[in-house]
Formats: sequence, structure tokens, C-alpha cells
Amino acid sequence: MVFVSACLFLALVVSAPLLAAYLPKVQEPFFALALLGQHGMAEDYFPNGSPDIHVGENVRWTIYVYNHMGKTEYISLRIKLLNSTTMPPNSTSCTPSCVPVTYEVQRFVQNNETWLYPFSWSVKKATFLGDYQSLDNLVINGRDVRTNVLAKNGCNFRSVIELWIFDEQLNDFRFGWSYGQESRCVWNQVWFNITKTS
Amino acid sequence: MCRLKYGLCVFFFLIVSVPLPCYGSPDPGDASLDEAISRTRSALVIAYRCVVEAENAGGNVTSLVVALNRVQAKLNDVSHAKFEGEYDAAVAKAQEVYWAAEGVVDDAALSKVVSETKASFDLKNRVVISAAFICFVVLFGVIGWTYFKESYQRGLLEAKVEVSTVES
Repeated sequence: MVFVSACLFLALVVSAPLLAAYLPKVQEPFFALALLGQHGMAEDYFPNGSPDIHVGENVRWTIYVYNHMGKTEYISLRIKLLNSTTMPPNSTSCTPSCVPVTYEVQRFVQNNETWLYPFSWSVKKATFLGDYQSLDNLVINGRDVRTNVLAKNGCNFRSVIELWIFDEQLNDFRFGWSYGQESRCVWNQVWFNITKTS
Repeated sequence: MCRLKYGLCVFFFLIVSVPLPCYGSPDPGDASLDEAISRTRSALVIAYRCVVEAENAGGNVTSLVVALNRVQAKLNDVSHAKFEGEYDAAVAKAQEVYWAAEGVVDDAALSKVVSETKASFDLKNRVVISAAFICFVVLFGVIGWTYFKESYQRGLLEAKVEVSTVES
């Protein structure tokens, strides 16, 4: 009896790794999105440590994206410029912000890959219209980008970064992804002000 | 008077019949560029689907993903050239990017076939190894059980009853 038990136990111990190799591994798919400051950490987002930016002042960020979806994904980072009254993306319903895209970059990211995208920008032209200030031109990664956002006294502008993923069924990018019956999405934002003096 | 009417009619006819300049209509170069960009984007999506299929088949797609990103970067350059108004250069670049995307599709298809063949071979190997392992365990169990049974029975048969005298 002891011998039979020992044999069964041995068979179980030896066959467990084999079974583990055959069985599919279940993991929750997700994307991580983060914005890092000029030194690649979650600090020092602005040159002088203050969110008040002068026209022409260069701001350097790094956008961090990590793919844990279990396969290679085709992603699109969409950067939008908002003020305090514009509706940001909705995390619950996974609805993106309705404002037009200011800058977009697309990339293929492998499973378990981390992608660090250097994002450098400055305000090229800002117009003052009474109490309001309009952001007319930005330079993003060396490229001129036209914008049209107003904010009172140049305060409370925000850069919103949305992560869109290519949906093979839709044959287009969509904001977020599905996990079972649920929708998941990631986005990030940084607030800043524009000051008159340079 | 009649001549004046006739002249006005001719003038009106000429005005109507002369094609008006197309203010706001897309530049033909722009339209062909948009078409080229759209075609290239579709080719890139097809390439991506092929890479995912190769990945699902168990292939290592690192080099293919690098190639896809290279194509994507070139496509961004095409869009930038369009933004700068360099239509001819952009169309030529778009064609180049299209071919590059087609190249990735071919490589991905090959990788998929290789991965599927390898996966099939691996499955056969696993089945053979598993069957051999099971046979070994069963055989080992039977031999062990027989040996254990015999030695146990032998032990029982060889056992002697010892009678000891109790001194009173």
C-alpha cells in the first residue's frame, strides 16, 4: 500500500510540470501609459519646476507605454490640447475627448515590450485676446503644429494623451480595448499655464 | 437692338460654357497622394495582421515588428512631406513604403509557415515523449509492484513462529 501511494505521488510530482506546459496560461491583458518628466522620472515636468511656460520655452517629456496584451499591438498615441472647460476622456465609458488631435504617433509594440517615446514641445505662437489667450502654434518634436485653444489669462491649459489601439474587427483604431464584457482605456493629462513674458 | 441682344446671348453663353476655376477643390496631386497614402496604410495593416498570425503560430516576430515600425516611420515621413507640400516626393515615398510593407507581408507569411511546421513537429515530439514517459511509469509500477508483492509474500512464507517457553 505504501509502495502504491509512493508511486502515485511520484507520478503526480513528475507529471505536474508537464501538465503546466500543456495548459494555456490565463492572464489579464492591459496597457500601461505614463508620462515622465525631463529626467525620465515622474517629476520635473517643466523646465523651472513650475507649470508656467513661456513662449519658446522647450518642455521635454517621455511617454511610457507598456504592452501586456499577450500579442503585438498596433497603437496610436493621440495628443490633444484642452482647457479647463473642455470635456476630457471618460474612463468609465471609454469615450475619448471630442477635441481634434493635435499630434499623433503610431507604432507597433510587441507583447511585454516597453516603449519610451521622447516628446519635446514648445509654444511657438500665443495670441492674447483681452482676458483670454489663444495657443496658435506649437512645435512638437521639431514639427510645426497648428492649434486653436483658448484659456482665460492663459491658465489651465492641459495636454491630454490618449492611447488608441488598432481593432482588427473595426479595421480602425479605437480608444481602449475589451476584456470580456468590459471596456478598458488609458489616458493621461498634464496641466500648464502660458505666461506673457519670455 | 437685335444685334445687342444677340451679343448679350453670345456673351452669356460664353460665360456659362467657360469652365470656372475650381476654388477649394482638391489638387489632383493631393488626391493621388491621399490615395497612395491610403493604399500604403492598408498594406501596413495587412502586414500587421500577417505578423500577428505568425506570432499566434508561435514564431519569433521581433525582426518583423522592427520592420513594421520602420515602414510606419517612413509613412509618417510621407505624411510630413504632404504637409510640407512636397507632393511628388511624397507620392514616390509612398510607393516605396508600399513595397516595404509588401516585403513585410511576405516575410510574415514565411515566418508563419515555418512556425506552424515547427509547432506541428513539436506537438508530435511532445506526444511521443509523453507516451514514452507514461509507458515508463506504468512499466516501472508493474515491475515494482510485482517485486514488492513477491518479496512481501516470500517474507510471509519465510516467517517462523517462534515459541518461547515462559518460565514460571
